[in-house]
Amino acid sequence: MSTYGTRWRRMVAATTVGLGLLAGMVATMGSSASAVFSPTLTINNGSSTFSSTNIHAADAAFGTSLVQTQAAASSGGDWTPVLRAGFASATMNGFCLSRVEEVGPLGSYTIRLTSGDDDPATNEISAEMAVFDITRLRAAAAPGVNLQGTAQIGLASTDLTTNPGRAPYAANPMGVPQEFDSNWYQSSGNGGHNNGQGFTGIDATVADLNSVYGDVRQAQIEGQVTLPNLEIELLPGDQSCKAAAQAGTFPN
Amino acid sequence: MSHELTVGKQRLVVITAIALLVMSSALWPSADRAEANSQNDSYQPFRCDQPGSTDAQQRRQVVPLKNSGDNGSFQSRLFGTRMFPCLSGTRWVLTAGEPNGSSTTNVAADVRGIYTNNSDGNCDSNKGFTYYHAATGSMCLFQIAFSDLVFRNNVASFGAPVLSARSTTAPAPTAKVPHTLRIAPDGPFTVGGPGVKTNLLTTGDSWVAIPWRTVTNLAGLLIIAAGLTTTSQKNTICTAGWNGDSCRMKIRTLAGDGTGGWNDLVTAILSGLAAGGDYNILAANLEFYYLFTHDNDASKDPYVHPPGGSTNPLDSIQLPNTTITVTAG
Repeated sequence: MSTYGTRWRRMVAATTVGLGLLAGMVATMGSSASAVFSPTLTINNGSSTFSSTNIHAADAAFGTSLVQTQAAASSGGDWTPVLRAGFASATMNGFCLSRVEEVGPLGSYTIRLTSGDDDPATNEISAEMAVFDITRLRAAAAPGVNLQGTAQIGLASTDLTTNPGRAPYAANPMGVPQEFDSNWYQSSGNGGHNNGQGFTGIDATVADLNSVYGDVRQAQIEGQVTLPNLEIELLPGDQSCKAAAQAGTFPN
Repeated sequence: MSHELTVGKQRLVVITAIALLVMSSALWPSADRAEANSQNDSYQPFRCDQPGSTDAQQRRQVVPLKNSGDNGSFQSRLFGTRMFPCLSGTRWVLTAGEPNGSSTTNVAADVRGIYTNNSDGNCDSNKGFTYYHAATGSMCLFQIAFSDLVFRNNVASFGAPVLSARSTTAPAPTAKVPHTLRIAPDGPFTVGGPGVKTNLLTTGDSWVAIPWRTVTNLAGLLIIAAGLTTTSQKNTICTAGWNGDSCRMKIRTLAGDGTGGWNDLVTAILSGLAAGGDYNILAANLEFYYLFTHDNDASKDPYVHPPGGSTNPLDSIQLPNTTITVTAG
């Protein structure tokens, strides 16, 4: 048997694993796999990485929050701190989302979702009412993280808005409960009206993030998202968006 | 009886109708968003309340804007253009430079147009003002405003700036899982810039290190008149300590905290530093609970009119080559 032929059994196993991972990574898609999704796209199931040449977000907010890790949720759940980044609307110059899994004897595989038009001058991707739970973000260029307009630092996460001045408001887009909840707060104060004390954040008219990549635990896009030239690939080894970005390659 | 109007009456009806239309359009609310110089549910839509109060925003704080122009005036805390934050109670810390350094050539940053707001203080020698956190507790904080704070390109060689916020610095109740948000540029970053004013609510013990020559250049005659030795001068003025010609000055000192005697002299000397001063900052340790930026024109409500307008807002905070992390602990 040729050692260069297709290893069908291994490929079927890898494909099965890959589809399983993909299902875990992209838990819900509100419509069919076209380039335009609406109304809800949810990505979860732990650690993924992302990258983009540019994210230009209007009505942006970044607040500390907690998420319950899915693996532990069934056993009571561990809560992990994250930086929740929310945008009323955002455009992106290329987008990459990936997850690397170790699959026993098969080794590591990467599920990678990419979108873009290969034009570094255009922000061809759009999304509305998006939330990303980030543990690490790197803006590897100048101006890097550029907060424009009215910027505020130190607000309680419950006070951050991603759509100010226009009703209906996103109800507490950062998700930190205002009233005492034993999963979120060490104690109750102010008659149980904790109002986000101890969870802090940043609010800005516009956040412009350049050459950006990082680790994302989960993401949710409630509004319409347009992903031109969407590709979903199953790749051998570690071919994560983060690894590529660290080597200087960003999607566009 | 005929109901037909004469030509003259028809003209009168039409002219009256047009006049009413014009008058009503003038009286009708503008399509533009209303100014929010009072607390406004459109811009602070979420509760920040206290049980027992009918005001769902009882625990919001009022923070006045810095007026435009080269003077130390701020907007009125009662009816001026103000911000209405619900403060997390988490202490943010900005550090940069060599905290105990003596070099005056290692300049971390340049600040322009710095002022302190001590017009209606009610704590800390009546130079600070009391601000309440989202749920419980309060702090005596000092409001400083400046045009821009620009870190030097070589700052990383002796102390790159770091912004951090640890949840456990907030008084109880606080987060179930203690965590730290850290924003770390590789090197320089910029706060403010053309058209933008930045305000900070800092603790009185926060400090900035400035070259001693900045003090003597500003107030040489007063210092000579005081007849103090250089060491005594530094001990009096550099209230957070000094090393060589690097003078660490607490923000409460910069705000003009004087309690009599030599301190009044200090107030006189330092009033120039906090009245639009432009100078080098060698190092900083700023503990703050709120930072906000607004248009130079303080009549423009930041919730409605961000610096530069909503369509193409001006740069307020630029953090090149920056890593942001959230970690437990």
